[in-house]
Amino acid sequence: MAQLSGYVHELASALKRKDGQRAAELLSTTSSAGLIAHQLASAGRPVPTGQLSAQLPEPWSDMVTAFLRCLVGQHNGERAVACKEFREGYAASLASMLNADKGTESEWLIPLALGAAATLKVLSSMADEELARKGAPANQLSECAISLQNFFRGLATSKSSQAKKDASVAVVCVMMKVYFKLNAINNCKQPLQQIELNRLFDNAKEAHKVTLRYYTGRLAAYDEDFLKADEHLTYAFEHCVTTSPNNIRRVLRYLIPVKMLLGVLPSEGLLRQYGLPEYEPIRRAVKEGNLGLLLSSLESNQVRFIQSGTFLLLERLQLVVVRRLFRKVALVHAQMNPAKAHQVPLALFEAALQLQGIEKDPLELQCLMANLIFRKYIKGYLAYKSRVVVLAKTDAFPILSAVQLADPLAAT
Amino acid sequence: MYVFKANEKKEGEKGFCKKSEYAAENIARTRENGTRDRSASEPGNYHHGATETLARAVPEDGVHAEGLAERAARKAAAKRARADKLPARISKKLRKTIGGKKKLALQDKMLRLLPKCSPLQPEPKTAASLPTCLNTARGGTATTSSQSNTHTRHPGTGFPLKLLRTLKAAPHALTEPSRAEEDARLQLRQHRFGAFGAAVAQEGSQEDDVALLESGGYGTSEALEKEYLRLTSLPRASDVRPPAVLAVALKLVKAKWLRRPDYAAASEQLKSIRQDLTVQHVRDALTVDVYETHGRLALEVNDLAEFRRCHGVLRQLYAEELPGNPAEFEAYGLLYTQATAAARNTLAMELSLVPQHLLDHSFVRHALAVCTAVRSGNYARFVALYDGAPRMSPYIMDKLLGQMRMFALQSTTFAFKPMPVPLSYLAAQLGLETEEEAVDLAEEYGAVVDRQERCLVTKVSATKQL
Repeated sequence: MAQLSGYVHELASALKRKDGQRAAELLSTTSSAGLIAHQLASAGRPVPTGQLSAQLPEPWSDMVTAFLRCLVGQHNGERAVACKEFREGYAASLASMLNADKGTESEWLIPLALGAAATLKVLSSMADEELARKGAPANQLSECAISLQNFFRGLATSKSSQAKKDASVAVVCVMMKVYFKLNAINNCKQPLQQIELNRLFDNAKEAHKVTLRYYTGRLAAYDEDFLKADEHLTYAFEHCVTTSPNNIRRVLRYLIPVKMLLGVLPSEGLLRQYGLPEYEPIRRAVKEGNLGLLLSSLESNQVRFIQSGTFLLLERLQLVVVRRLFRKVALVHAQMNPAKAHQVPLALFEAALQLQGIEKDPLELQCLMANLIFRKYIKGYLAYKSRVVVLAKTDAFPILSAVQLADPLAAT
Repeated sequence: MYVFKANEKKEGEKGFCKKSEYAAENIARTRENGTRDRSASEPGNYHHGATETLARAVPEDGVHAEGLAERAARKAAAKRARADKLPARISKKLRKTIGGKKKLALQDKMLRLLPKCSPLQPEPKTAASLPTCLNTARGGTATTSSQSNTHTRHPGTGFPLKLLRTLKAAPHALTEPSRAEEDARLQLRQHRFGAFGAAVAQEGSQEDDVALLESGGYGTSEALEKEYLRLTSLPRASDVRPPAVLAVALKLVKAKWLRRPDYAAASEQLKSIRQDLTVQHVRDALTVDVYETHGRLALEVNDLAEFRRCHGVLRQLYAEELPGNPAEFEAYGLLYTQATAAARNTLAMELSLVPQHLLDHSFVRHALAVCTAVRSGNYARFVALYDGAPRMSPYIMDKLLGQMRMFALQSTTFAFKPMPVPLSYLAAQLGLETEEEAVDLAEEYGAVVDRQERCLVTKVSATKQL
């Protein structure tokens, strides 16, 4: 067909010229290769390997064959087959080419590699969906991760080529996405460490920086290192372009719980602007110290929170809410009984909770109080006989952020 | 005495003149240990047909024994031997009956009789497993027919022994022995044991007319217990037990566990049941039951790796809409992650793996509540959650109890300042029954307790680092 031969001709010349950019364009799923594959698929003809091997040098002919076969498979709806073809025929050889030569020789392959990495991820996730529907084990994504590791190794371990190292950041971004989707986030540490080691972050493109910070922030939140999480996610939030509200929304979804744990509440406007209604009741609960509301909203949105991995973060807010409630109770008591302002009876606290519809037996109440004091959310002590909390005269309720960091139970 | 004579006569028939060291060992053991029921003690490689050999396992040295004790032993042995006759009869019947139901009934009877029989010696393992493995490599005979068991009673040489060791270590090594050597050995053994099936005579590839298990078919073995060996190739149909037998085998495992928990043995049996199920592509309620049983046993003995494996498979099985207890196992998974998580993020990951429709189930909610309590240090709530803990959750909660108690102690000593705390309160918070226990625990951690006043002296204790 005219189109196919024209395409091959162009590709051959691009490869000869070592024009990575042009070659990458041609070898992407959006190029005219897609059209060709569509023609082949509808005609039911196999990919003409002879023609390709005549025009293209080895090993490119095999790779391009695999690529075209993959596209044909896509058109036929056989995602898993297509993904496999792409990975084994195309991506693997590309990666080995990169690995084979560590110097600047194969720098022109970089755009190709990046294109391959991105395409591979997309193909793998689609293939996995198909496999899951059929009931077969959906392992394409994990294989994809392995291929990506090969790419990363090829790029990051090049000693002389700076361009390659910089490109590895892009690959890492794709890897992060894959690992998070696979829920295998322990694997993220290694490439991130590599990046730290080589200080590649500063040279990376803005988009990559934001992506990286988003993922490192999420990792820090998982590890319950809230300061670091706050820093990274705020960076991502501030540097994210305003033209992609979806991305900002994603960042906020993790930034908000972290900030709430540190004592900073989001404004209603923010929540409305980025469409995060699930945080609205939580925000109100924390503000008012309404434990009942917090628990019920956690309950109703449980599935959503668990899927985004924030459920356990938000559970930690319980202590924050209890503290706030107690602060209010202390204030009320101070008003009612100014003489004994610092001695707040537990009964009052129990009544406050009952107002919110929560029953807690006295043992648990004392446990809660003791915890608050032990973890230094409240300065004071408990007097057992009189069932009274005696608050410190000054600064009985220290600032939340300072307290969170010194929390002795944060080690769990 | 009748028994011994029978023994000698049968011995003479076979022409065995030397006793293996195993037989001697076993004889000695039966003598000293008496008639205590030890059917649960040997790692599971009983073959039901092998109960026949029990008749011959009775100590022969008893013939020349004197003294009351020995006579008593002999009497007991005789009783056992008589009991052994029964299974022999039943097994003969079994071989004859074809109807599945009748077979099952007979096997049930066998099951009930097993406790009364004398224990089996370990030696069939060498001979039995060796042929099994070699045969699975080349499609040879099964060892489960009672006939073969009688023959393999005296393994004889030390040579099978050696192979056994390499067997367990590297089963693949067995597929490679030189053909000629193998054939020679095979011939020798056949000669010794008499004619087996015609199949064994053919050596070589598995593509011959040996009755291998076809895909989609069921096996024909009836052994209630089978040693677990890694399969290197398609097994013979007579090695593999059909689901009906496996169901009974599972019941046997459960019964034995209740009588005496021997995890190694039970685990091996369960693995071999699982293997048989997999080979026959059986994925139904029985499979679920097997994996659940194995998972629960693993929980009880703290075998986390095995539990995780079973749980993984169970997740897949439940996804195929098989009946079982998915919520229960999800709950265990969550609790286990909380109890043993090295990395902090594992609980989050585990949580995201729980199927959504189970999140509302009371078991899962309970597990989540426990995790929350542990994470926020709410020890009172943790203790309260022991009530209503589903099935085996208390086992796992026990692991968390230690750190909860320590936290409780720390928190209480820190928070209750001027006056000491009465022990009753402490005991309640620590979840202990008596105040004495509370005192012991507290002092273990270095707190100071005033026994006179029955209270925990917080002021002094707080200064010490607990």
